[in-house]
Amino acid sequence: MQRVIEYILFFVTVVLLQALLFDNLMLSGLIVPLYYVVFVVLLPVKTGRIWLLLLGTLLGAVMDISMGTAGLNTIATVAVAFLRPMIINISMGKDVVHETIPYGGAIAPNSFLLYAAIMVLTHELIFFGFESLGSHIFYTLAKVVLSSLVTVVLVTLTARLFRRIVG
Amino acid sequence: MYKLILFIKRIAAPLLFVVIEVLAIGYYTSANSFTRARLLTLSNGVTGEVNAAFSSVGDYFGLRSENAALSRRIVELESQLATLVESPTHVRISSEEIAPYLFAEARVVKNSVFAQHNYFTINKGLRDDVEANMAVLTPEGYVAGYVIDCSERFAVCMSVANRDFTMGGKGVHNDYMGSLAWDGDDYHEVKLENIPHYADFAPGDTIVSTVSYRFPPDRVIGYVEEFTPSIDKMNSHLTVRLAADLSRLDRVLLVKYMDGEELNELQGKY
Repeated sequence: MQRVIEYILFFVTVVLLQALLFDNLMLSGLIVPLYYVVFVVLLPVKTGRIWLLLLGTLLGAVMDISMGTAGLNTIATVAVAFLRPMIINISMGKDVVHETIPYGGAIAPNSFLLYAAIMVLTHELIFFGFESLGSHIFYTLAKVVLSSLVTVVLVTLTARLFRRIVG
Repeated sequence: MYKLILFIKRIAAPLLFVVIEVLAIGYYTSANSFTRARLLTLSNGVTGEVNAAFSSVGDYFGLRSENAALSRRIVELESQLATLVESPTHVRISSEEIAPYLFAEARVVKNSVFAQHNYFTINKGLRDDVEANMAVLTPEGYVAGYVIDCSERFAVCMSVANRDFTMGGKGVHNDYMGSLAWDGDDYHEVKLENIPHYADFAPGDTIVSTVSYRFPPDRVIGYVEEFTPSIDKMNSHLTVRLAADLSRLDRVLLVKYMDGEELNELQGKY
């Protein structure tokens, strides 16, 4: 594992940002950014599948305690962590092989955008899908799309900053 | 043997994924409102102080409207007091019994309205004698929720906009009762169910609380928006616009019903 300390600090920052800032924003019922997924998005490219699952569980569980959602965040985050290798394959293909962080370098900005969008959309779809359990389908879909849009912008900005700091 | 290790290596991740997801989904589906409140109480130990500090930043901006609301409330209470003082002696004597309701004030430090299960956290807890099932009202006396779990310095309250929230409500002019529930859609609106189809409700009618072990009676819940008679004439429902603006809770009143526990215990038997 590389850059363990940087990633521990990143984890703490992401959790605090979500718990203290984004959970208190209350902009609109349609924009509920689940920003913390950025941690799974930006884990090193070569992170093993078991590590992905364990870190996803830890992140989800911490967010569940913070939001009082009893498992909802864990369900969504673990699913995204499990699907990540496949999503990287689809969106970035071979560009990613020589990179440590899945942003910048040989990775085209559009590939990263596609990757981040699929990750975030999957995460929010599972989260809000489970939360509403099939009721208010159109409202939930609008919520997923708008929240994902905002989250993808936030994730991309964070990725730029993270790349500059961690390299 | 080598093939077996290879096989285990290949299925380890999917297997772990399935196990974690099954556990998480099992926990989520079995969780009730108390489990969720417990988790929030737990996290308040870490973030409660910070949230309290954040929420105090905006204090000064609301002073003007808060003062106005306060003086309106004083006028209201003064006029109630005047009628009480002028009433005959025997009425006054009976009202001098120990008050069945105790009031206290608190401030909301964390709030949510956009989830399906919304809770808010207040800055009073066990050490301030806050306990579960105390009613939470806005300063104007509108119903906002009730306390569900306490830690030493904070308490988590279930908002009216929570799919597990339930209480009794009735029309202030005709006393027809129904049970209140939120459908998870818009936090401004709730439904009052099991209303008789012949009840006379018109838009704008006031809906107030019925006596229960949590809520004091005759507190304003909201105003009728629409009366929907059911086809089978069995349970019509009202759409009620909440009087309290749940997204802007700040100062709240806590109400403890001294006889609440006794009432709950007795009702629980039948």
